[in-house]
Amino acid sequence: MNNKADVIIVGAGLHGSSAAIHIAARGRRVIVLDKGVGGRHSSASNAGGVRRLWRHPDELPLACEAASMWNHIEEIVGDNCGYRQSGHLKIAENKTDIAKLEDRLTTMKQLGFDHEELIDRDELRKWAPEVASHCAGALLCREDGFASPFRTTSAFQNKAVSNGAELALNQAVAGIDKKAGSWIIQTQDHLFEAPILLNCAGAWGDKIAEMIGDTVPLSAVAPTMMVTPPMPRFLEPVVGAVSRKLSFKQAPNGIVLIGGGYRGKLDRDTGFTQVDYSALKLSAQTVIDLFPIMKNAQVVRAWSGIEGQTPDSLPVIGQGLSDANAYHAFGFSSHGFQLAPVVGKLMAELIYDGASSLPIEPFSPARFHDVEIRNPETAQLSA
Amino acid sequence: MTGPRAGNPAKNPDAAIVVIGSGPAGMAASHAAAEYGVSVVLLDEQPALGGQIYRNVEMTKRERPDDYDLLGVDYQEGRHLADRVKASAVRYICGATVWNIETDPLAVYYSVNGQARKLAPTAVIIATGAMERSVPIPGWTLPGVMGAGAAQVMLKSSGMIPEGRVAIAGAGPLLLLVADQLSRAGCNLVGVAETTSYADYIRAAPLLPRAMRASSYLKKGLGLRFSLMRRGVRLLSGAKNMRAEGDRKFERLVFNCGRREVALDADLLLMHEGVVPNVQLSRQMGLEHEWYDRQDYWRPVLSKWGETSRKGVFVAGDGGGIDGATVAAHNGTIASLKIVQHLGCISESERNRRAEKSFREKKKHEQVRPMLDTLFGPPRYAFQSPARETIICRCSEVTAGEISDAIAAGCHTPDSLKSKCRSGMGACQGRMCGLSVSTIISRALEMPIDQVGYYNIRSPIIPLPLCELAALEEEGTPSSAYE
Ligand SMILES: Cc1cc2nc3c(=O)[nH]c(=O)nc-3n(C[C@H](O)[C@H](O)[C@H](O)COP(=O)(O)OP(=O)(O)OC[C@H]3O[C@@H](n4cnc5c(N)ncnc54)[C@H](O)[C@@H]3O)c2cc1C
Ligand SMILES: Cc1cc2nc3c(=O)[nH]c(=O)nc-3n(C[C@H](O)[C@H](O)[C@H](O)COP(=O)(O)OP(=O)(O)OC[C@H]3O[C@@H](n4cnc5c(N)ncnc54)[C@H](O)[C@@H]3O)c2cc1C
Repeated sequence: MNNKADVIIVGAGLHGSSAAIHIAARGRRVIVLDKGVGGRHSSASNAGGVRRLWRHPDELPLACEAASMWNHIEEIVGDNCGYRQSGHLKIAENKTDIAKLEDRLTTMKQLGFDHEELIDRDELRKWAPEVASHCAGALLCREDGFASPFRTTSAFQNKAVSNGAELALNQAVAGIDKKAGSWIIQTQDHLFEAPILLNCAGAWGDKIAEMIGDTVPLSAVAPTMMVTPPMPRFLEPVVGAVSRKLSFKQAPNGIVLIGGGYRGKLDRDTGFTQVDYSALKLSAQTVIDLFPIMKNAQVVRAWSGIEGQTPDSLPVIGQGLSDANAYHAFGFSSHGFQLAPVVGKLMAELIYDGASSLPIEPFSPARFHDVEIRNPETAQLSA
Repeated sequence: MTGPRAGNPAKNPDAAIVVIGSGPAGMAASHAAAEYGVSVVLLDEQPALGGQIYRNVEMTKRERPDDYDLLGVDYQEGRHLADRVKASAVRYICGATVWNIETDPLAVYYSVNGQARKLAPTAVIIATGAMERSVPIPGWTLPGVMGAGAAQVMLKSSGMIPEGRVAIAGAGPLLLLVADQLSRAGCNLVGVAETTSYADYIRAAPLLPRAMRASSYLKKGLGLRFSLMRRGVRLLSGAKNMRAEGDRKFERLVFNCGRREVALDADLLLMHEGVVPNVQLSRQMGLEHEWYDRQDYWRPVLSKWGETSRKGVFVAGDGGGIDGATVAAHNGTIASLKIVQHLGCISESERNRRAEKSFREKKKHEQVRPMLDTLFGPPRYAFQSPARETIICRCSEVTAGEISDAIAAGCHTPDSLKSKCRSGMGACQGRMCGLSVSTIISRALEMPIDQVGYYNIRSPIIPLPLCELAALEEEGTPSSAYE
């Protein structure tokens, strides 16, 4: 293997692969390193929610662009990723919840976003006939949906490779040095070299950042999913709730997926996670309360993934603080699946055009420090 | 990790030790620990003590004396163990299925009568035994095909004897035992097709002298053979290319015997190709496992005391490797002694003194294994070139062809096959197809199986109703760490 490239990406999850697709499409030589097969703990095993509904306003410009990319995902990565525009609902259980939905809608209008709409009790029942009788209404985003995480991750990786990127799997980055303007990246068996480094290391992003001299606060968390056997179809949209932790959907094959951010236990160094059933007790109760049809459903499998969580739940996207030839895109805080198509494109722009076409200032690693954001144009591009 | 909390961990009101499985290993382990005043909870999903070999032994003795006699002295042996457990302070909970074990701190989750519960012991002994190996021959999923061990379980638990004509096929010590028990119970056996061939006997012959040190096993094997022959049961050895045929249900077993093709018409086919460790819990916990080549199965990596790669977690009995009931019981005792000493209830020298006999006896019984394991080698025939239409994963109905295609498309690990074709994603959690899938990948890619690995087994290892989870009961105090 020729271990020299124009860009080395650490992490072959969705974000690393997406960046590789766009950078390789510009004719640059890219090597993507991953300590495993890429995205095993997150990109390939998440809930697959493609959601703009209830997203942080700072993320919406990116999420809206991503949404239109998802509509053409087959043209972008060569596979439709199992994507289905099912709609997403945020359910209100009482008047207080409804008031929160109204506030949200007002904010969205003020900011000029029109992807969310408020639906009443009857309309909610048309969208989710089995919803519990006390549910009073919901916020709806018709153009949200879901995709198959495994298929999506494979498709992104395959597309990166067919664009010319090289995937070096089972290569754990152990150290990063800078010599004569080049990054020297050391894995357990090889040295890799490139003038530009992109950190897409997910829940391990802070460690890679530290190797290049950037301090970014990040904790690794273990969001948990539960799955049932195939059940008769009763639900099309993905469902969340205003005052309870819930993410609930039925896949086309009838399997019901239950998430909602309940966390398991993890050991980030070994990748070992454990489901915390004491926490899931509440998750089970929530599902039964909102969908009584689930009372006798069975859980056949539960697992906890590993995801990077920032203090403000916004991702870290942007140029490095201590070196202008390092870039970050990690810490997606349990909602980075939807954003994957667009962030990779923005990273390619940032690196090679000197600026991204959508606003990413809110995600700068500098926000955690009293550091001024470096002007991307001053970045020295040795490539 | 913190040190033991206030109080004596040996008296942990929850349980100092949770033993899972009440076969010979679990019963011996529970009893040995209780003798030293250590609090023990013994959980088993079955309604009575006994495990596989001694299934339902107490009831059978009481209510079905004829069956009790028929099942023989090895079976009756189990009653003594069961009596001792009953007379001890062991808290035995029957009908309790363990579906998850958590570490750091240890917690055992189980369900009994529709109620989910959690226990926080200081140490755990997994004594969940063995299960019959799945043998994916063409037609093995037809109604009317089942495991010979499963048929034996029915005989033990309810005296049920299969009706109609029965064919038995496969290999291994248990095959002949079941054939003999069924034939003596009056079952209509049309034939026993043994996959063991003369070549296997020749390969096993050099190991015979060593096996003679535990010659009782050999005598038993020969005894069964003579008993079957005396009763006129047709024994066919060297059976190859087996397939089960029938229109919607099993009708006949077809195989090659030398140059002949033989067809046995029957209503029921009992297949058996030996037993393999039940590693669902040890896998779910992420413990280290190794591949045992002679019998083609995975077993957890264990210290001589039965301790796994996680401190305080032990495996005893056939769940740690197939050695039979006697060795299982000794391993149970050995694991318990180690824990009891660790908890400070006995000294190291006392432990060693008590364990010595078990180590000695166990060693004697293990002498027969190399020969048995070689003679009754794993049924590689079923995996070498499984016909494309053969179903490998029963739950999701995934065929060998679909698996081969997925491997060719780049799925090189059992987990990626799970994601790609949903094999191992059904209610049995990969219990039935796990070994087949690893073997098929290993053969297709010509890669050593320990590099291929196994499914990542997720909890709950048995389906758990959502309402049961919502009502999870958490007992007692968090456990004291085992360190
Ligand atoms: C259970 C669960 C449910 C979720 N549900 C949703 C959802 O419904 N919708 C949504 O939008 N998002 C969801 N998410 C979040 C989403 O999955 C993530 O935000 C996204 O996949 C992050 O992608 P990534 O590429 O940043 O990280 P990852 O997929 O984790 O990839 C990072 C890669 O970096 C590699 N790496 C790390 N350190 C090193 C090193 N030193 N050397 C080499 N390689 C290294 C890792 O091996 C890994 O493959 C969920 C997450 C989880 C865990
Ligand atoms: C079907 C079958 C029949 C057999 N019959 C014979 C025989 O007749 N003679 C012979 O010599 N050998 C027989 N064997 C071989 C047998 O495995 C050993 O001889 C012996 O029973 C092993 O003892 P053990 O204590 O390790 O496990 P077992 O005796 O297998 O006991 C394990 C126990 O664990 C329980 N268990 C498993 N998983 C869970 C869980 N998740 N939660 C709660 N409880 C659980 C089971 O209900 C079972 O009672 C048989 C094996 C099988 C699979």
